[in-house]
Amino acid sequence: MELRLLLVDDDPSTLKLFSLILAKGGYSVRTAESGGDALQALSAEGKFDLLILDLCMPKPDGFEVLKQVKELYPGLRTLVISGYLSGALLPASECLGATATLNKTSAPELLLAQVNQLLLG
Amino acid sequence: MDGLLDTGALENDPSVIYLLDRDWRFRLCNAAWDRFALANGGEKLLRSSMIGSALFDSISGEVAGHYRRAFQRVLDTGAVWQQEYECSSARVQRRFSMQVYPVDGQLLVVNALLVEAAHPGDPFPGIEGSYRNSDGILVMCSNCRRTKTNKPPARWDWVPEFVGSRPPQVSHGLCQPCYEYYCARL
Repeated sequence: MELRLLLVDDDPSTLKLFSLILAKGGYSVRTAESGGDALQALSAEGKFDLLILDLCMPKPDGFEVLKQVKELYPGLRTLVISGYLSGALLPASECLGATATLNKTSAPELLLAQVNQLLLG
Repeated sequence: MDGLLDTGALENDPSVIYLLDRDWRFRLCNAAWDRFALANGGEKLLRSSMIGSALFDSISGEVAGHYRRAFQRVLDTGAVWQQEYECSSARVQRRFSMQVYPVDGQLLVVNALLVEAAHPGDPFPGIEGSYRNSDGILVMCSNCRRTKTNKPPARWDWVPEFVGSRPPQVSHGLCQPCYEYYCARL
């Protein structure tokens, strides 16, 4: 059975590229262009195996989505992707329940391997 | 002389040149190395600090893997390896050619400057109002670091102020050329 991923990013080109990468890896990918769309998909479209989440988006941003996911879907693993995973952002996202983090600059090269590691061990 | 090398000639060469031993440690860096470091805020990277240190202590991740594979191939095959790459600062656009030669079981790395120019100017450099969108977010390409203008038709500008510092509320996306670059590699 295909594993289902929910990929959230407000940048359409990033969504397209990451979807292609993950689909080539054999995953079923549902994309969401906003935090609101992502929360709607989580409540209405059944179980996802992994949430891949951008942090900096219009409200609700990635932090707000993380908070709600931690409360409403505590078992859902979350990979946070951001251009600035340094300073306060990385520890903050981990405190909010992110399972793993990935720098967006490296994501085209490392995304599939990181998702495989999280889902397939 | 260092083995087969004429170190005097290397020292005066305008290209940034270094020699790595089999453990990837810097054996030699020329004067151009120091000039480049000093011109780009790399006072801690002068050759007096680098000689004896290992290249892969300074770089990591995919970049390190790329160079480790390429450099090892030069050692294994004896074939010269070459690539072009961008090494721009916030205000200066630079493109280099890197050539890696096997020399007596070591690697001679020559970085020749191909292009150096100020980034093309844009009409509104540094004015956040031209770039922040209606949500107050700057959209920067996560690959080339250009920033998207907020009025159609959208344009991606090199804005030194945004590259040299970290403005708040930056969302990283992909400009069309960088998107196509990555798609072509899939």
